[in-house]
Amino acid sequence: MRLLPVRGYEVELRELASFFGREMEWPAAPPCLFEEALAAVGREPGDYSSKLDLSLRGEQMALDAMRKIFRHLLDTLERNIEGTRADLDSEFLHDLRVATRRTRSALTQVKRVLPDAIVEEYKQRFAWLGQITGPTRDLDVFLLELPHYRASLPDAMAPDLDALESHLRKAQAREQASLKRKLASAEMRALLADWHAVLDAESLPGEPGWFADLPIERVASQRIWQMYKKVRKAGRAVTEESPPEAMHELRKDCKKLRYLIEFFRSLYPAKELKGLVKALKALLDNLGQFQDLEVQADKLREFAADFSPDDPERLPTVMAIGALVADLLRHQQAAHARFAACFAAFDAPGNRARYTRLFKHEGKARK
Amino acid sequence: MKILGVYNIKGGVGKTATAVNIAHRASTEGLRTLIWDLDPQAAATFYLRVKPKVKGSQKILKGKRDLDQVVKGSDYEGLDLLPSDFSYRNMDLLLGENKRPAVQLLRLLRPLSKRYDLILLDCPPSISLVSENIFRAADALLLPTIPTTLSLRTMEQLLDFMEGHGLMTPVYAFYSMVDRRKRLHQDVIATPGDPRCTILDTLVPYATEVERMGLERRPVTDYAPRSAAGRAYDALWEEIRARVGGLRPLSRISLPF
Repeated sequence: MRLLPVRGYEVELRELASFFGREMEWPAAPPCLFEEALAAVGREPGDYSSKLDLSLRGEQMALDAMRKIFRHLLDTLERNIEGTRADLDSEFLHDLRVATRRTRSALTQVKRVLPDAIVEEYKQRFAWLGQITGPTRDLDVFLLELPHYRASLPDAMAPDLDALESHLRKAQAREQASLKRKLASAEMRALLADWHAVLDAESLPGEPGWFADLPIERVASQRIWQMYKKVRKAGRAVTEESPPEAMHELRKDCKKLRYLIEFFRSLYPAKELKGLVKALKALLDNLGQFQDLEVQADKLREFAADFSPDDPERLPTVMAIGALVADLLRHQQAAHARFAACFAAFDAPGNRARYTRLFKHEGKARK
Repeated sequence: MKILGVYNIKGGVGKTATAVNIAHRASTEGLRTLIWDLDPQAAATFYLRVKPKVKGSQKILKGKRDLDQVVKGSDYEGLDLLPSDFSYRNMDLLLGENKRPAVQLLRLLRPLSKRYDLILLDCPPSISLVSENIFRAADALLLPTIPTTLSLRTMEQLLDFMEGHGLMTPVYAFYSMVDRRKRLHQDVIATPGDPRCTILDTLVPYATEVERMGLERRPVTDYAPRSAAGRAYDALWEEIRARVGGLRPLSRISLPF
């Protein structure tokens, strides 16, 4: 017999299961094939999450706390390499890239904890990892978006995207093969091994970071407060005429702010952070849409250029791409129009007070 | 996610039957569907064989507890229910305690938007703060209407109310409990309706199959899909889908094997 859960009846399920076990003394069935297969490779359901779920203590030394964060990110990164190489699912590469970005953000945003020389070196080396994984991810995004693109076109035009799809698939296969090689390269192996060594070393070479032995809470609050002020200032300066570059810069800073808050989440009351993160996420979503839609439109234009305009068989595809670009740019404009409301929520008095309460400290993190 | 309110000022016009059958049809097409039974009479809850009781229902309406925690599964894959509770008879008072009472339901529903493709609100009869909440939360209103003069009058009342409150929610009326032998029904159906709402083509007949829902405690579209009523709900669903848009199951995950 097999008991299947129904939503809202968790208690009943447990009671029934224990009735069969205790009262009827039925032996428990062996785990299902899926669970057995997972156990055989040393996994269990739910044992992986890309979320940063760290518990730090406020009085912990900054260097120790940061190493803990870096180790967690490195672990996430490494756990996604195999899946990325095998191209099982685009999520592996996505998580790998997020872990890489977070590592770089932690290196550059929480300065003077690790020795400067180390920060400089690994900033470059992780930037390399970001670069080699970029092209495949871009194409993955297009392939994931394709069903939505088709749906946005009139039914009669949807098949015109077939040629684009096969073009994208070929390009993706090419980039994926190259990425697969690079992820197994000596350079990649050295990066992982060297970074492990830095994180596990008893003592680090070079001048120790100026803030290394400060309590992490002070360093974290100071960094978050600085980045918050930067975002607030840039956001207030945005007007209808702001160039896309200004929006992109603002998005980058918002992302940095979000990563900082995620790294140090456990240092602050969860309830207070919840509302704050929500407003920040909404702002980031808006800025992300604005930029992604533009990038997609630009890329689509490039793809269209790849198709020879003289070939009459290609013409419908080029025209369908044109319709998509128009649609994307319209949505982009709409996203820009929503920015003011998203930023106003972020810059609302209640939210401002929360940032001040949580992160602004008397005196700076100086020794 | 789309929210459809099934509403009429009058009671006994086939609201709950509509909500349950349409929800069932939607779920069989792979839409993740939820019915919220807002009527303290709890008919939808009864039809779907769920206990009409919500733990902490007051806290929920005040937004102090997540709706998510009280959702109940049904006998059907992809069809869930937020059961009714007897305390919903005081819903106007409870909603009135919130800051912006007219949009409280929408606020409560928002967190569910990722989990469901379609939410149907089975509304209590009457026109009240609850109804206003429903008008504001819904992407469209479905208005089952018995083809009688009195019913047409309540339809006018509703449309006046909406106009008076600046509510732009599209209203799709359709004739329900239609008895083709009645001259009056035929006449009303033949009259052009109020231009402020759309009258759908489907006629849902007055049928014992629908009344049997109370005995079967299942949707007609499940136990008698080929009956006249079953086919009518089928046609109604197709019409709603064509009108409302966005009611297609997304091909969610394509597996590489």
